[in-house]
Amino acid sequence: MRRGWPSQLDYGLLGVVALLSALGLVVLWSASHGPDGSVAGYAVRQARWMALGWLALGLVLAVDYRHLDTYAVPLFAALVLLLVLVLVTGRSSMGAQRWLALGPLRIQPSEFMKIGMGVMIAHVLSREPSPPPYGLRRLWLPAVLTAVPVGLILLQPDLGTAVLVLGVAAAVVLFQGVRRRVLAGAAVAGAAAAPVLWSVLHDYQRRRILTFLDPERDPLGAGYHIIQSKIAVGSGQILGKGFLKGTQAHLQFLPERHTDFIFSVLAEEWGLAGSLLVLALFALLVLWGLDIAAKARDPFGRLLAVAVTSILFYHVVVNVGMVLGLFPVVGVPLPLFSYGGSSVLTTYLVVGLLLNIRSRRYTRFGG
Amino acid sequence: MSEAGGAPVGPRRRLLVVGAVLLGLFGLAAARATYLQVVRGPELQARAERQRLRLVRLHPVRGPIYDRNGRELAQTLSGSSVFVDPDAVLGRPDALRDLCRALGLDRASVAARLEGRGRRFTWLKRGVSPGEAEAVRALGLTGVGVVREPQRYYPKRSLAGQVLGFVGGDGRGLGGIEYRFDDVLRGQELEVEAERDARGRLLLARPPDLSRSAGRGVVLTLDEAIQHIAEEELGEVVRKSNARGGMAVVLEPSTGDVLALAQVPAFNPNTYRSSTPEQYKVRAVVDVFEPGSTLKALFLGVLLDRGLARPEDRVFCENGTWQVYDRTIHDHKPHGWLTVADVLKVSSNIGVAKLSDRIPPRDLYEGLVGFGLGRFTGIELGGESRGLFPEPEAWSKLTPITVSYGQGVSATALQVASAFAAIANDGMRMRPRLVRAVVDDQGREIRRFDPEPAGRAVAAATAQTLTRLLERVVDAEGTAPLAAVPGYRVAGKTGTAWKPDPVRGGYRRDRVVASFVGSVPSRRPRLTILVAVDEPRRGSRYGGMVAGPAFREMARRILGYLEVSPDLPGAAEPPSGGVARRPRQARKTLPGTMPDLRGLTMRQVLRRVSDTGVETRVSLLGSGVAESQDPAPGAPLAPGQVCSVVFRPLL
Repeated sequence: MRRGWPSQLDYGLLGVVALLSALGLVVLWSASHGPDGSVAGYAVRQARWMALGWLALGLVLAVDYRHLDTYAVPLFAALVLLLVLVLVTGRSSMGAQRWLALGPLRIQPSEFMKIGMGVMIAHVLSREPSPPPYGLRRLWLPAVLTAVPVGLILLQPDLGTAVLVLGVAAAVVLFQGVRRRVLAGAAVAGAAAAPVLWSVLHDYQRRRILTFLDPERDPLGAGYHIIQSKIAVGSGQILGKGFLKGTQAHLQFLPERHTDFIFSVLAEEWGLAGSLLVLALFALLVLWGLDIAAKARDPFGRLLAVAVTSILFYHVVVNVGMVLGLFPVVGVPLPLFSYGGSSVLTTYLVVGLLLNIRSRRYTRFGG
Repeated sequence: MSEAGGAPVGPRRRLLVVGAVLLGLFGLAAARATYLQVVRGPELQARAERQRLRLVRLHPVRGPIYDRNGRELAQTLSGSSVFVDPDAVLGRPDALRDLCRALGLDRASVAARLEGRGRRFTWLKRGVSPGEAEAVRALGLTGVGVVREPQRYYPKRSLAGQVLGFVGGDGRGLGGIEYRFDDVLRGQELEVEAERDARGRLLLARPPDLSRSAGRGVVLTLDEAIQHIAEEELGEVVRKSNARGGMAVVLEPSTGDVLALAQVPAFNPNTYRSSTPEQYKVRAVVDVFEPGSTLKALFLGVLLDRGLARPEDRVFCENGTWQVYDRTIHDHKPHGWLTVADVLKVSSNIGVAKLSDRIPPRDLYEGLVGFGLGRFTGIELGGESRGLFPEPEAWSKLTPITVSYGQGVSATALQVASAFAAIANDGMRMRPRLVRAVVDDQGREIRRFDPEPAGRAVAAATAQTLTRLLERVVDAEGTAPLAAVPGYRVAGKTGTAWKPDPVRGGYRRDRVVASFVGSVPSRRPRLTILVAVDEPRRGSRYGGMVAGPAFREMARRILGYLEVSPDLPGAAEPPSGGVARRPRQARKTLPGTMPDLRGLTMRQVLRRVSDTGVETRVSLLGSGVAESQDPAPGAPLAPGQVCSVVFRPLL
């Protein structure tokens, strides 16, 4: 059975993504309203980013994902180099160096490292001759490969992205399987490292964690975000206040309402119905990714699918968990909803890769 | 590996497990959303409203104050007020500096005022100008808000300032009519639910209907033009004589209407914050002084009324010095035998003193109380004094003597003016009236205040006799020739009262209140005017010399303004100098409006009022021909409304 890959295009997945994109623009439009009735230009700019995103998705789709396997090492090396460049010459924004100026464009290499990490780990592990579960001897290479970008990103410093990159690598490794003793050892090491980690955290990061544990200890300071988010979500109740009628968002009680806390705007205006619908669509998207992994033709494809799906999953769960007060405040955007070009592009790249893997499951590389 | 792809069985099961775990995490998020939005929904919704909605108390639109012709003396303009969150402002010195600069406030005192205000809401400045409000908005500071609030404004500035009073920052009237009629003027404070945003800026979704809660308007008896004339002439005499100050009262004798109540130094209620209570109290009502010689007219009135003296009775005036008990009484010019009429004309202290033993103290006391001495006039102003007039039981042998020429008894300027108005009104004293009506925002009358007789002072015949005697005071040989008004008969009396010495007791002859009070035209009085000059320090100190000319100029101009025709044949010149000449209203009456009744007999008045076709109640006062009326000609009439018409006998 040999058919061209375009005939295998997964329109269901495309449909889910298109639906989420549209919902994201609707909520962002509402979040752009100020108390005086003015409307900021976020939604329009976001739509432009999405248009660019669809273009990127098409490009990613056109090139067989197995080329990534071939060029994994130079690609990864290039991204690591960019991370180094960021530290040397990068633009500083909000107290951290994350941006690299490329002519008129400002790119954030750490954002693309999330995918690059997945590609690299999938490349290494798909070539691992011995079957899982792995012991320590098999894990040193992936560990070093992970530590380099994570360390560089931590230096920026950008704890959120660093943890995510680590998470992507861990997802692939754990998916392959790790010996119980190693897991137990890692848990013990982690517990032992926690106080050390605590001491290297920045003040604001410690405050966030303390605040998460008890938001009311400083309701107008550090706890403000979480409390206001809960109030906005809760006041939406079952059916919500209606489109453009979210008082907490429009009166600016809700902080970062068009970026990190956009899910609160959704929950306030569309109620539990809206929250559950969007959560269900994201869950569908993640399960769809796993299904693609399950049906991937080769181990690299399977591991890559797992890696990029995990990116989506982390973003959604960490962001929504933060908004709902389940996790501490970490600056993680909600894919397709939060305003921001890097997040939009990464999401479409991830979707493009998933579509790529799915549509080529019947075609041979180079065929 | 099979051609159809897909993972081997191991990874496949693993994927199922992973999928289940991930789904579980999504489920956790969904459960959390359900918990927040369903279980805690109502509670969080209430919390949202608590922080979003604020009850804001808005000052209602205060009712205007009009003069008798409907000209606005006090009005309410839309303005703004600035409030702050003290914590937010104090934390940022440069924000506070900018704010104080924009509002013209002193930074140190503002900081001191805001310090320790735990509340998140404090008024910083109420009643800012539109420019200041714009400047504050332009700063865009967190924790600073501007809200629209009506502001009190007095368009004529200091005109009748003390009478009008002023309104404090909390919207309450604090002086004059503003205080006394606060309940009427203030209206109802509005509690509005306002949305506030996270920066504390208030947003009123719907601008509240301020007119619904607006205060009522108060219509005064003051006439803006007459008030203006009185203030101008009073200011002139105070300046010329380098006096400490002065007061002038203009009454309409037939109704007791206060047409003007002037005071120097003036007080501008727009800038009340920089004034002292001494400046804004209505001295003609609050402060008492010993009336001095003006009281002789009342004293003789009491005697004449009881038949205890006749104008032609003769009294020996001891050539200027008379020893009685342990006191020596002086006249400022020596006189021999004088008629009672001449005693008044030359204002002989010895003359009246000698007459004082003709009347029992109790009768003298009651007679003077009949003129309103020692009694509240009932004027619609706060803080009125009733003067010091002890009961006869507390009198010494000397008291009737000193009272006869106005010492040892004190009164307010309004009391004295009101007593002379009673003489002008055929002996019937009218309550001095400052407020005619309360009107709604459309100008419709809600309450009217009718002229109120306060009691008969003397019989009409006595009043007329006394008037004839008082007319001679402005003769060339009288004490106040300068008070004579060309073309009009004037009946009045001078007063030069020494001020009591608070330190050493007794009197200080170098400090006097020089006054003149009189009615004009005396045979058909339209005005009773009192002018009192406090401590003249340049030129003469005698009432006739200081206050007389001021009386004349006020009378001349006001009579001209009112178009009162001269009553003396061969008048030097027609009246002029009024502020504005009113064209004589044609006697044409529209149905349903008040006809012009002036000059008509009682019978004609009743016919004309019934011709209006509106069932009104007519209150007729006095006898003769209609002299004045309320409402004014042309005013719309409502069924059941009381129309009062005051008549005077034709001489």
